[in-house]
Amino acid sequence: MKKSYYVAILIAVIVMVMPPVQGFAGNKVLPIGTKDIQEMIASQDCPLFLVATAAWCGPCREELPVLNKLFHKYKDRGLKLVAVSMDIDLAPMQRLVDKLELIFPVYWAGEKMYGDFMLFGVPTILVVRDGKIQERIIGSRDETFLERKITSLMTEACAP
Amino acid sequence: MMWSVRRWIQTAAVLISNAYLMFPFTRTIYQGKLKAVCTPGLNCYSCPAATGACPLGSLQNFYATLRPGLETGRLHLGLYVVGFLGIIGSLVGRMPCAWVCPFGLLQELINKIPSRKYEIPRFLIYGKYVFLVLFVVILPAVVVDDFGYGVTWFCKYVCPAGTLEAGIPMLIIQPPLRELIGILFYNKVAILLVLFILMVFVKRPFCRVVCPLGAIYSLFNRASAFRMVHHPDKCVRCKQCYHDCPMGVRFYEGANQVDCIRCLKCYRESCKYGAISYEIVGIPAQPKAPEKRLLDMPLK
Repeated sequence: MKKSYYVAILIAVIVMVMPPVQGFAGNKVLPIGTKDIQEMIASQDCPLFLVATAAWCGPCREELPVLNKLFHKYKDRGLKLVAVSMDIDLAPMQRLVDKLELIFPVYWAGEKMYGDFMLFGVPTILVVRDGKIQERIIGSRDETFLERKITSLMTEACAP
Repeated sequence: MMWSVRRWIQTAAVLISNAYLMFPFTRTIYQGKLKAVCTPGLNCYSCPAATGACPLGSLQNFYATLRPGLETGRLHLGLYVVGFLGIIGSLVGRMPCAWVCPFGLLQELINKIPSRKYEIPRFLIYGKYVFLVLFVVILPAVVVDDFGYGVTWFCKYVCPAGTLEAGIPMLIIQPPLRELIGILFYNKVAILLVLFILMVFVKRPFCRVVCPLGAIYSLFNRASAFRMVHHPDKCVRCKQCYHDCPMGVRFYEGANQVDCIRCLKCYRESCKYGAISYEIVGIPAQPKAPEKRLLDMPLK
């Protein structure tokens, strides 16, 4: 009895002195409807990269840090990048956003994205220009490919 | 004839589990509510026409996402899939392999190509349990990335049904995917081609040696509600059941062996002596009357 009392005290002390988990609390994944996404697309005058992604998808987890790096590099030159999670709920993508410290906006629309945007897999980058989806980049791509694609579409007029 | 009835049911099962015939127009896979339901046979979730989910893929997916799932409060643990397989297994054992599995039907049809047929070494039938334990359970659950996610090892590195039903058709209907073809795809195509060749010469090689789904169902064979019965007193060990069996089972060595898929061919066609029958929850089916043995016939 006495032994278990000391063990309990020891555990309590360890828990109390444990450093709090350093979460990245700057970017909250917000729910969004597919109609709102369609409106977002229609209202774009400048190029937008809309990334359909999911936390469970391995290639997505490889591509998101690359996109984050490119967003860091080109956001001041007018790069617009938005990710939409197709996970079953919001929590898995929030966990990924925190761990990867993603700084671009991330939404959650769920599996409805598949049907409403005629997607059949993730990751798929929908390249939006003049308010329309002009291109679909299916599958995970390397940094060189993505940077070339981004720089080829960025225009002076869209820089802030 | 029972044989043709089974063939009809197999064909119907292929069509029902792949009934989304709009895919050439939508150029995407079916994502409706039915996809939440598992099919009893091996039918890839990512087949453009698939209406249901493959239980094996679902199971691997649960193990591969176990850690992030627990971390984000999703305590599903794949019990629906385990329960689904458990119910089917406890009712009929490995019967879905014979009656509703599309990949089983394919192997039987290819084996009809006239050629010399070969038997596999018997120890290989335990290979499917290695694939089940390693590729479906342990590797997806244990080998994880920095975020705690594993990989669906069997689907990704082995499953020939996935290559045939999803990998190749998706490349046809979605040409941009061809840019992503790599060593992994060639590996899987090679596995499929080797199996195609084997199917000509060996009866159901994939089901007997590799299939983890068959391995799960096989565990129920001895205890399921539907069971085969062997009557040793009537058996003359003519081995006709073995020659006719699509799985190469030696029924005369015992009923309800792990590879018995309850196709009933031995019962309906092979055994002339009434040595094979079946029972449902212990209630014996009407036994087939034995035909007279040649030796018993009166000499004229």
